[in-house]
Amino acid sequence: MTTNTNPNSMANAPADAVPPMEAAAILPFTVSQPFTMGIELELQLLNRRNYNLATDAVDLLAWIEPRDLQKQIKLEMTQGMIELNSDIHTRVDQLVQELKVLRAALLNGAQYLNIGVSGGGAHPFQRWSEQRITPGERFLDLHSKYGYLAKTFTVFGQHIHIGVPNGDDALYLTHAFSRFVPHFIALSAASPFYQGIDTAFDSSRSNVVSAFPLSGTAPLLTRWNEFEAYYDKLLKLNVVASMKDFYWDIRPKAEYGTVEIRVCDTPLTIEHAALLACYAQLLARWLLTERPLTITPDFYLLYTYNRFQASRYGLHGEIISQEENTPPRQALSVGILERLDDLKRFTQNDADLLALRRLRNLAYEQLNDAGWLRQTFKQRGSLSDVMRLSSELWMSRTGSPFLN
Amino acid sequence: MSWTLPSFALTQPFQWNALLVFGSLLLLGLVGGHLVTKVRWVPRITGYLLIGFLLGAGRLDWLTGDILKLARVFADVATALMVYQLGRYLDLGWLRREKWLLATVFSSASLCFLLVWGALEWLGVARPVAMLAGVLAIGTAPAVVMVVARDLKAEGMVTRRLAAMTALNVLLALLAVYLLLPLVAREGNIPFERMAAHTAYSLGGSFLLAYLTYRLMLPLAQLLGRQRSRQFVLVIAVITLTIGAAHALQLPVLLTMLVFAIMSKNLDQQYDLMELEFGVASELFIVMLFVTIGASIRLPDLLTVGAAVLVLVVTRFVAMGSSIFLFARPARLHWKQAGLLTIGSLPMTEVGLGLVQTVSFLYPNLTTAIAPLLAGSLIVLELFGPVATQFALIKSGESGREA
Repeated sequence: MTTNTNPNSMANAPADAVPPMEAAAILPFTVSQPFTMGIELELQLLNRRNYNLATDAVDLLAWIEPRDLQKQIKLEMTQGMIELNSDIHTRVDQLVQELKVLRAALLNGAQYLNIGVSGGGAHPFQRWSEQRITPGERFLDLHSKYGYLAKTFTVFGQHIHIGVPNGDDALYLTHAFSRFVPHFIALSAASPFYQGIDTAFDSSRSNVVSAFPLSGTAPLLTRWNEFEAYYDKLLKLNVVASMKDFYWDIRPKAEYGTVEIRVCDTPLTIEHAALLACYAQLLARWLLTERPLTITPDFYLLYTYNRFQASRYGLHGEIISQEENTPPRQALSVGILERLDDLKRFTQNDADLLALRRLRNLAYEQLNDAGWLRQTFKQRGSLSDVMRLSSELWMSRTGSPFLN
Repeated sequence: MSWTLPSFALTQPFQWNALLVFGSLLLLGLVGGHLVTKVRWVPRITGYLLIGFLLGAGRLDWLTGDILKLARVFADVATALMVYQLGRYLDLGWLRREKWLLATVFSSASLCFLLVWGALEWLGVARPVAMLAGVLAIGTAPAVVMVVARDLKAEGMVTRRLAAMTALNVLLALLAVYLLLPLVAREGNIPFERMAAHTAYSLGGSFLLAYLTYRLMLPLAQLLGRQRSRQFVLVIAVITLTIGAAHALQLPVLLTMLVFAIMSKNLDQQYDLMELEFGVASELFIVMLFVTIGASIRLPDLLTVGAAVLVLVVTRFVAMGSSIFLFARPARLHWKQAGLLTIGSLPMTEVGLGLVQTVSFLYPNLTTAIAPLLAGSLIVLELFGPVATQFALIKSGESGREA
């Protein structure tokens, strides 16, 4: 009889762990086509008088046409926010095309209400105390539960979903993706201003999420049945009511059959958002095909430090690593460039190659939306004007000024 | 030169000066405004109105004559500030896209004029007076709408539409008054040509003065840069200069201010002019404005023209409501929003009373005839109107106070 030394195996689980057969029914993992992608974009609604956050999310929904697109445009916590949900895609160019259709539907409604729509991770001068909770049971419950945190959560993120075939792969990818959280934060950073002040962070939004009690990283489990047991325990203790109560940076989404990356700020253009999704897709292909990372007990040792580096310094940050064959300290932009170069072998079409080239340009030139926002403020001298130009950028068909 | 103590004899009238007037009214208005806010639906300005009423013709008769003239200087600045802010809600690009808003305003203006005119004439009011009342009834009170919306930090579709509609219907009312006056007035030996020339001068002069003001302000804004504090002083300076220039040139102040605000919003392609929240600074003038309006309220006016006032108020409400509901569906307003927009439009503009006083030199008979009706209508609509607007904005869910 061999001794099972795997610390994550249920054979070595504590005596009070729920047996796998009983726990398996708790959170069934939907099988989905691997490496498909979809995104959720939280967008800012702006009044076109002073470009502060508007309160028209509910009224805007009434203007969305054709009607079936209303299923893909959703309300969020406060009334100055709206969420676009893409369909499932295998190609980045098709994702961009769909986002353009969704954008057009949104803008059609916005023009009748005289509001603007903008990307960006946080509104630069809104006051959280002035935000209004969206009418709806779920949002009111969250407000009741989290108090002021619900209103401070008026920040705008991009969530990227990548399809995986089973729960075990989902858990591996959840942990593996976490090594690239600094990449996603730095490439997407678009919230340098908060409550009227330059925070000195490229992504101040990243700090807001950390305030929630169930934020951070997923538990270091690698088998889906173990994860179900963990989830079941928290359910029975009334700590959570559903997976939505976990605000982890990377989260398995059992009902979709995906792994969800939640750390990105909403970029200022839809093209930029699609690039990040493509990066996640290519990373997933590499990680699940070659399994280059070993999930060790100290896997998250440097996580919060590296995350901070990316939030604070963006593409100018520095990453510390304890992996073999990796420099212990490395410029974040260099790490991104190396990864992008290696991912070429996982591209499947011209659209992937173009996306890699554009991402490479961003990393090489150390350009991100936080830099654009700061530069615009320097030129215009007014945060209202920054938001006006930011909304024109999102609403225009010309795309990002530095994606070529 | 010798010096003697000022007389403290109670038989001698106290020598009021501008600062005494300003300070006293501010203090009393502040107290009044604070007391009424204990009731959720009552805005502060109702407290100011009541204080003005008590101090003025309504009760103590302290706020009259020269003192009232002094107070009106501050009131004029306040109205101009409110009208300026209101005018900047008028985004012509939005009006081109959202045609139903324009349709609502034109429809409500036409209906208001026709219904009020028809109803008053049916009641026995002379045709010229009834017609003039009809056009003046078109305007919603700009100061009431702006102050209530600002106090509530109201933001949203109903607020935006209410502000835009108010700006548009005040503009239409002012234009219509000047166009109508030479056509309906019977002023004895004053020839029609003179009255028409006065209208042409007033309208053309207002637009020209507004444009010149805009051309003066824009390069200064570019020079000063997008600094909130500097632009605030610039706006106040330009507004007071414009008021003074309009008075000196005998041009309608509010029409000039409204046109200037619309130009500043829509012609500034480089966005050099910032959107300013006047906040605390304008508070001082707002107290003076509404205390002054309250001081003009004379209850006997209401008693003498009670029936006509009732008819005017009701027909105005019906005209506004009909147009708003008529276009609610294409504008994708819920019925509740349409109802609240109607209620929010209840306060009638106080501009009419000041306007008739301005043109009284040319239209003495007509202005004398209409003044009691206007004053009586204002009693009702200024006292109840702000409450209605506050109620509407709170109920719409757009009040930041409820956040």
